[in-house]
Amino acid sequence: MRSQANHPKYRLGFIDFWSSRFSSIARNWQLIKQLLFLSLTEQYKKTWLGSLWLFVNPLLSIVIWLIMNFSGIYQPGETSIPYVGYILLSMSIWLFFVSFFKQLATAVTESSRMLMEAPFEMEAKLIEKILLNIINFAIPLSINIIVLLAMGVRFGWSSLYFIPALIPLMLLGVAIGVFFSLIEVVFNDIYLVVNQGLGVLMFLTPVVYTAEVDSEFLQSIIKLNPLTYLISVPRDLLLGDTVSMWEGYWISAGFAFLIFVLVIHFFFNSVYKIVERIFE
Amino acid sequence: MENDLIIEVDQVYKKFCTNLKLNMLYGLQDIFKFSQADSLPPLRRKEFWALEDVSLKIKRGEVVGILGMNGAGKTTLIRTIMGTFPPSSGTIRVNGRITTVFERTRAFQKFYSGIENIRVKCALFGMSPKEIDETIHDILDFAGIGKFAEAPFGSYSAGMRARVNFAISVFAKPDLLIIDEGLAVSDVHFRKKCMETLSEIKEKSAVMLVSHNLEQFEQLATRLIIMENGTIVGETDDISYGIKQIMTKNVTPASKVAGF
Repeated sequence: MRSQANHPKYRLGFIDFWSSRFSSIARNWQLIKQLLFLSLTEQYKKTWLGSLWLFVNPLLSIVIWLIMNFSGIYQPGETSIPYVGYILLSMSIWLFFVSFFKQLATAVTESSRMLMEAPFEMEAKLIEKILLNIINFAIPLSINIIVLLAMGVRFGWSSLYFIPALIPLMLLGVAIGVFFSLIEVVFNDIYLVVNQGLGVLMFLTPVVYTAEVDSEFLQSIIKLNPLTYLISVPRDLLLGDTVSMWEGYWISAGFAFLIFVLVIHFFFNSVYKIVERIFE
Repeated sequence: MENDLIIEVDQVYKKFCTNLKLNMLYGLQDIFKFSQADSLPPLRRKEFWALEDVSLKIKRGEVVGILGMNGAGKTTLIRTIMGTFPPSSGTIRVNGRITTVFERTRAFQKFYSGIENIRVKCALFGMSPKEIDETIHDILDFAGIGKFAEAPFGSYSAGMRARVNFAISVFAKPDLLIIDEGLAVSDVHFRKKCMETLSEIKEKSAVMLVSHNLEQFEQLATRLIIMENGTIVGETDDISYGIKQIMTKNVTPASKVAGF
């Protein structure tokens, strides 16, 4: 039985709150699969190659970075593997983070057409977006690893620690995206500014260069930026490099986890108040 | 909540804002408001009551017709019962699955086939994969789209879309089926088929029917609710009498007090 009133539906204790979220995910698993199928295939539905574009796109990225490398556009610090490989890996990890923001920030607005006819639980939409992003990350990453192997880079078993090490970065990306999915409905200006700002943030994070840059100003920003640790440590683990930033990583991971928990509580306590405003 | 009672709407109010910028501002204020008073929230600038003190109960076996002029609050009431709009005040209790048929369906994807769309819409109504597999052929048969089942939904006529939409909503085995002008674009044969089906399913479910076609009420409704300016101004089991009242506009808030 569903009961709906003017008070928050999700004002529950911590344990009940999270158990309610997981029950909802289990209950809506069929819907999540259907929504994921639509999201994965929709953008390529009117193309000749269809879902093959999921593989063609990352291959094109590789070609572009190869061209940029040979033309000498970027002057990075010293990297442990060929620069193109370094860039491909770093960009994959960066896009993993940014795509969580971009995918999730439009999740509420995107649901409007379906909500008009059959209100469904928003957990389904959020999980669909998270799974979509993981798939969109895994495909180019696998291709990039094949390219790195072809370049002579060797990976050990310890490289697999790279996967759990990415979880805090994912939590932070999800948290920012979910928070802005509410803001985007009622204060789109801020969303647009943040969306643009992410491009700048990439250059304040050691993505296309290493943390050992010459600029002191950049050095101090890099040090304070939690993304530095959440991106560098998984990358170092994958490449088998010595990890020198564990302390910063664990502090940043704790910060990401805290933000994630707070934002998810905030989202489910607030989304019902604004969902009607997407129909304007 | 007793078993046969499917919907209980208790003193529901719903407000909207007529100004886009203020609407966004109020939304921003609301999401950062962490406590909410139990009393009726006051109207802010440019806000109005789209529903005001609406109470009703719907039981299994009933076909409730909602009548009213444009802007009376019929669709807002439906969207509040469905759960799309949360009430600004009051409570709605829903016992079971609700499915809907609107005049213009927007949940379908034009580049996907009829079958793919049926699967998505069934999942939206909360059907399991087993339920979907068991009913998909019945839906296709009922909708009568035959060889077009694999064709992109965008190539369907308005009537074909309405048929698929209606078939899904019926075969999803709802406890409450809401039809908001959902039969308006269907041809006369399919409309007849729908009316027969509705007569059958009302044994197990309840139906809420919003239409400007008064004939449909006479054929199906067991109760009529008349709305005006966001309030229920009349309610009767005598359908012909209710229709006469609305035709002669002899419905005022006072008639609500007088029991219509």
